[in-house]
Amino acid sequence: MSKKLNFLESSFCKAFRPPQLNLRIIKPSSMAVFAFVLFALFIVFAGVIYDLIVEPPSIGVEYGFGNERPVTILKGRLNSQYIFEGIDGALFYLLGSIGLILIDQALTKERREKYGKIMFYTGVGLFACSFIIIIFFIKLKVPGYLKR
Amino acid sequence: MSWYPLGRVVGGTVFPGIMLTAGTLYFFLKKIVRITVHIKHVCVFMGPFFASNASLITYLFTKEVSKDYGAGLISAVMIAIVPGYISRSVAGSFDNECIAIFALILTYYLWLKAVNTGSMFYAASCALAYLYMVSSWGGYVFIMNLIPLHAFVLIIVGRYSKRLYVAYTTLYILGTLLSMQVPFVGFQAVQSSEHLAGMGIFGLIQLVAAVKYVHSILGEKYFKLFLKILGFIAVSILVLFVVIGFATGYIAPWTGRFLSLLDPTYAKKYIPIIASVSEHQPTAWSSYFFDLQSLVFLYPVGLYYCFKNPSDSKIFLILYAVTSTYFTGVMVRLMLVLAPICVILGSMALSNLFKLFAYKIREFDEENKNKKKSQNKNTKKQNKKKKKTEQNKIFNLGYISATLMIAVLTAMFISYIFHSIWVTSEAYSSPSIVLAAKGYDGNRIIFDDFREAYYWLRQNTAPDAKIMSWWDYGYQITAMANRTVLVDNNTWNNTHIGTVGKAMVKTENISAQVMEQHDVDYVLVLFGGLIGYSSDDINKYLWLVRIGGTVDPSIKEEDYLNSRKEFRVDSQGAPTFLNSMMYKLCFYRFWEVKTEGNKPSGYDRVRNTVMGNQNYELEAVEEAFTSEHWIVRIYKVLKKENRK
Repeated sequence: MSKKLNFLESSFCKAFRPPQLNLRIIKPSSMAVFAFVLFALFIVFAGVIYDLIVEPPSIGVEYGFGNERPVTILKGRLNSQYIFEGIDGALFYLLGSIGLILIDQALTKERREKYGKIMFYTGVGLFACSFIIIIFFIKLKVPGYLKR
Repeated sequence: MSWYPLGRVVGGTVFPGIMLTAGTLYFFLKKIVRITVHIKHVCVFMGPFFASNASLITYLFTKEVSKDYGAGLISAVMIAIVPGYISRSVAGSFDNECIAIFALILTYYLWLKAVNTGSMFYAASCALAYLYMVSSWGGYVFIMNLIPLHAFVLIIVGRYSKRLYVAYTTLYILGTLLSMQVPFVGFQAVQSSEHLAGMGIFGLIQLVAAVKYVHSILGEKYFKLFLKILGFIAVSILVLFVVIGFATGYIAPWTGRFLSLLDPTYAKKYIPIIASVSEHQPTAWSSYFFDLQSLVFLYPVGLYYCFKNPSDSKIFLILYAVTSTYFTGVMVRLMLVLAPICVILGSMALSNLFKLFAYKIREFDEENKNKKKSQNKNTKKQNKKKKKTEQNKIFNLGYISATLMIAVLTAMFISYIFHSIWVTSEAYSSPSIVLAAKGYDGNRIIFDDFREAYYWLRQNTAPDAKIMSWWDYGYQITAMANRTVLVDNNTWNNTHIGTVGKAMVKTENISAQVMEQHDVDYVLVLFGGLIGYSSDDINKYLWLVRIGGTVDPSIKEEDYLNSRKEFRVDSQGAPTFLNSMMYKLCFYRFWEVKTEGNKPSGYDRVRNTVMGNQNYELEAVEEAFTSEHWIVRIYKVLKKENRK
């Protein structure tokens, strides 16, 4: 029985000889994958697909009194953006989430007290400021936000 | 009759789920509970009814994944009012998506139950829920690709188990057989490329199970040989299958709508009809906040919790989140699919954050009780010793800070509620058939032109009259005016829509020929120049050009733009445009009307210019009806004389 199997093995190996590859299976840690997912989320939240299809200008222009002034946010319409404006908005979304993640990290892992304090207060500040800034942007975009 | 003169087999081209559900509810109320309701009321209130069912199912789903009652309750509250879902489930919105999202969450819940317990009962119930989903919405393809992807990722990551094998095999076989019972799907379930992933993973999981079984029997040495031979045979069979399948054409490649999800620029170049629907536009950053408010912040935090303590179900949540975010980026209407997963992850994050602070408060209370009991001197000495050595410890949040943080999170939750209520009342619950605007002194002016025009059609035209209009108004004309239309909202025969577009953008002679071929009696156009209604046919004109260009190559977009590449309605507009049928129909006799006090007559309030081509006569049609504010204009097609 084993002779037949040896014959099968040797004949198979002579007929089909795969190359000698020294492959290592890469196993990234879960936090590394999470960082990659966050980056992908940033790209999508920034409306990059909208930019690819509709091709808006990167910054708007406002004409007044003989000079041109740059305008970051496209006012009035909801589902349209300039390229830079999209990246701005996505940045603040991500900063708010990172603030909350910092709060969680500060309160669940054991580390030196100084670092715990810094992480916690930075997290709170990031989250609060991002939320307020995003609401401010939306008020610029949609006139009459939260008004009857 | 729809889609004159092609006709339409409604049974084989429509998803029957929502009609069957409405009929079942009506039958149940009328015969069993014996409450007299009109079928119209059942249809109107189906949206909210199934939204509340979805809320219940989301509670079960979140509890199943996170084992946390608090997260489940928060998710049930949030999905009840999340604007992304409410836009499709308000009362009066009788569309596929009302029941589809309920069926989606139900299918996923039963799938996760099946994977977690390995019971065939849950897998079979998941197949039944999948049948319900297939019969209700075209988005069932999302389920049929996400569940195989989940199984594949579990195998790769090393979480293969007998439970996964039982769950996936049962679901795939029963689910595919059941989905083929729906006439619209039929043999597509085994033929089209959109379903291939399920079949491929089915084969793969059988292979993995067989290999693990053989591994348990054979020794190490012979197992390696077995693996080599088996791998070779499996790969060759797969290649043969794929090559023969695609070469003979048995397996159809990815079709238009779903291909435009994978390659977003495909629709823009090749299929202008798909690109023209405003719901199919890609998403800008502000729509995310508008439809999901606080959830955009909590959603990555929920993902973080999933990555921190992974399990089979949490890996599923991660995959669902990533794929649905990408698809939402491509089409704004798919925000509907992103809303449930955002709610689930967001509620898990919010519940965990609340717990962190609540535990701090509870610890503080217990410390206080312990301090009163223990002796003071010993603790003071121990505290002094601890301060000198820097030990790693968890950051000790004070009582006031923890309470403040809970207040901040509650304030965010409350702002979510206010935002959702405002968005629903302002953006997602206005009827689109009766328009309203504020006058000079703040009072409301109602524009009821649509119903006025459709009722005129209903009462003043022959019962077998055929109406030609752009496809947006097809359903409204069929329902309210009760007349035959050429194209309506569900037409997927692009040539037919292209022919209608050609008839609108060519000159009057060619248009009259096309209309005579199709036996058209009346033409209906929308014109918003008198009141400033910006969704009229002139603003959609370039889409008509692009879609007509797919049928007739002589229609080119450059001809309809002037020398500076602008689309203008005044005297600087392109001559091809100013002589086209649609322009003549929309602006006929508009040169007699004074719209604003300080502007000349014929001033178009949408494009903000005076109309270009004035004082012309219409030869092939005559004006039949213009509504009060000139929004809807109907023209009767004149029959040719018998003798020249």
